[in-house]
Amino acid sequence: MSSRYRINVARWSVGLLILAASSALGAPMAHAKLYVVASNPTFANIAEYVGGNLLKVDYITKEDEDPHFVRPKPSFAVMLSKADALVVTGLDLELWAPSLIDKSMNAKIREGQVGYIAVHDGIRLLEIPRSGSRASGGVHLFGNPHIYNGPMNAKIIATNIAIGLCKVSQANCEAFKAGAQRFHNMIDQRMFGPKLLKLFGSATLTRLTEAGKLIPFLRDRNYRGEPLVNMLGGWGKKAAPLWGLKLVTYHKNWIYFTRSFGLDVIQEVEPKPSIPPSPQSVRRLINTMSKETIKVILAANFYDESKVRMICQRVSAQPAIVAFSVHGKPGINNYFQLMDHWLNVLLEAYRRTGAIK
Amino acid sequence: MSLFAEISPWRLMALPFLECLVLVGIHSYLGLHVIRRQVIFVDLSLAQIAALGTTVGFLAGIHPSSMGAFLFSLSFTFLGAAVFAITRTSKRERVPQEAIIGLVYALAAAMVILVIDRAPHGAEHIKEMLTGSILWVNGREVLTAAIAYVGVGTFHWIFRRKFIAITNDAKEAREQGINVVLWDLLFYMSFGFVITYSVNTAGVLLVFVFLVVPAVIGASITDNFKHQLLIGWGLGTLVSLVGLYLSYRLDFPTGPAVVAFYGLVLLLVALILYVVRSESRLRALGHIGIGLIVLFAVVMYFKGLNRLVHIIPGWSENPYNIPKDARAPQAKKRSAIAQFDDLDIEAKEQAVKKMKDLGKLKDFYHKATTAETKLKLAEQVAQLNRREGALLLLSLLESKAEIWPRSEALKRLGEICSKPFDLDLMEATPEQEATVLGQVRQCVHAFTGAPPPGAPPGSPVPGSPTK
Repeated sequence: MSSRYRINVARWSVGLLILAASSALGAPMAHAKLYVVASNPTFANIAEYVGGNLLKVDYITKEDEDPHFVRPKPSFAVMLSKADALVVTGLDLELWAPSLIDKSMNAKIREGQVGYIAVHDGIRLLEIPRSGSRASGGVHLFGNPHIYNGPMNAKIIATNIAIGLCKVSQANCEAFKAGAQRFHNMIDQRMFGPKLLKLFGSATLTRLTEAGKLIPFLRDRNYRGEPLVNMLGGWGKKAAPLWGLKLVTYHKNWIYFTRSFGLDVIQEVEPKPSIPPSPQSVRRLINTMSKETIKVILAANFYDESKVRMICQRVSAQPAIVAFSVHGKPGINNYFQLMDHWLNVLLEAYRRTGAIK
Repeated sequence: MSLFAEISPWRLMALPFLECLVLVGIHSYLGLHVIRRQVIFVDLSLAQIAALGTTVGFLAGIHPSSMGAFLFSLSFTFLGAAVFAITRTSKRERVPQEAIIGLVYALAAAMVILVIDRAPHGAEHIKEMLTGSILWVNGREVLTAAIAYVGVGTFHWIFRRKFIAITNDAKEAREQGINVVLWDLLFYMSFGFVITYSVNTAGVLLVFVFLVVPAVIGASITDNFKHQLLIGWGLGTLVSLVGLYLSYRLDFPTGPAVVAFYGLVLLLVALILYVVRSESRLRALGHIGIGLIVLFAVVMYFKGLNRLVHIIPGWSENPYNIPKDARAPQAKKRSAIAQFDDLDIEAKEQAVKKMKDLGKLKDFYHKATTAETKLKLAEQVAQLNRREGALLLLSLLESKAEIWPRSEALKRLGEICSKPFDLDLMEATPEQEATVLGQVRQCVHAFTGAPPPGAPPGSPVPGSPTK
């Protein structure tokens, strides 16, 4: 009885010692950078805009990896075990996240805790399915979770990251909010150009873009005799020739982007999300493409390029194969370069088909 | 542009079928060797080594579908061939060669994953390469495969005696003075060459089945090498044709459909042979009947299990609950004005036309948070009551809102006053703005009859309320 008691005392004192040592070590750490892990490099980049040098940011899915899957590696659990915050979509995109969080034994970043930042909140989700059966492929129950490819969504993502980080570190809250606001302004400037932005302000243009009505609205109206569309700058101006053009995409992961820039997605190469094409579906696709004269297939570079090229060959269309994420290709180091990259590749593909000059 | 003819199933499936024929031609033959040597999994092993070669090449910056990658994987395969050639002739066969083949497979597969993990890109490319997809072959691929396989086939035809001799009995061949290690090496090298090539287009599964099934069926019917080969070819052609047809009709993935059909044919042939060859056919049929009953019982067992698992809560669901925060975000109840405010400007235009209640419109106007919303509401009020509308438009014009809604309000007020005000709010100086605003106020005042508070009638307004 007494020996057991003594052992317990020994254990306790060792435990207390460790605790004291770690808190002594931890004290300067509190002033060090917050360690934020994002589920993908694009969220990580947006977090960097929000937190600047207050953060150290890492990400889990590789630059050009399909965000649906992740190879389980010990390093991910190690990463998460040290994380102060985890930035995820929060929908059913990162199905690997719960088990990874479990493995990390880090209670701070569990769902519902302050360190768990789900960035989808406030984003108008599109393509919400009527029935949630897996028989129709890898359906996302809450709507399309590939949210960051809409530039307006990126602003909401930044806001959500700022709100989340405020809970983790209240001392730096103002800095995070200012960072998010800076990112907002940068996106608005790059999307609409200074002139149109001055005329309308951010809110009106954001709503129009989200509703997929930006260019038609601007074409219909004028300001003191000058068509509004002439005042458009930035990505909006760059992408204006694409408005209304038809497109086939590989996976159903482009809706927020295509909606923003008025591209009309007629069909996907995958007959059902995340299910590889079968002969019938390829035939249907080829038929649709020649009937509707669709001349471009847009695909992320982690899908099999040869399939896209084979279909393009059959209907003399152009493949537009792009990096899907920040760092997905050399030279794409931030969100703005990513958006530039998508638009450049698409414009080039349509130019080659002769659809635009 | 309906000039484009619909693509016919024949055109879509023609190349996959030709590719199947090319594959059947060489694999049915090589499969006979494989079966006689009892090295069934050698192709999986070599294919995995080939994939390892591609992956290593990828790490060195060579794209997986380039010529360089092919040379890399071929070189790796030749190394594998050397390993198999040497290990076969170990004097005392205490360790069966199959064990070495299996080991090589596992090691190569693990190394592929390890290597991929260090590569910056392209894990998906490698995965696709291993599964392959015969549906996507193009004409050039079929042609080069045909040429390459005819080359290998000719080589084997010229030296057929030696190849068959070492396959049938290595010891006897050695006594005849054949260099077994050399010819074994040549066999595995040519075999590896074929495998490397075919796995790229057809994938491991299909190649394995093309290799083994015709040979198994042939060997179970006759001992004659030539006859076995003819049976393999005939059967392979038939199975490919029907398999591709089924894949098309039933809309199944092509490779797996052919594989599954091949398996079915093997089963049927085995059953027929069993009945034909047994001493008492009646008893054989009886056995088959018992087999069917057992099969039925097994099916029923799984049906029952399925039902049971569904009855018990939680046994058939994802053990990780769906994230709580992902549940229906739109469930929040929001006020009518908030919902209206949330519409885009065009939708607001549509929605506002249906609103006829002046009191409600004015209430919305005061609650609305954006100028765009206020503008649309004020315009509608002006439609219903010009006087009230003019006042709202004026207050919008005087506010610090964005330029567009203010300039639209100015335009509407110009219409109401039948006096177009000329002012570019983007460029105007505060003085110009103040002058025009003064004119607008005067007009609105005259029109409504009631002077707006704080603005004495007739006098110019001292300072503009806007910046």
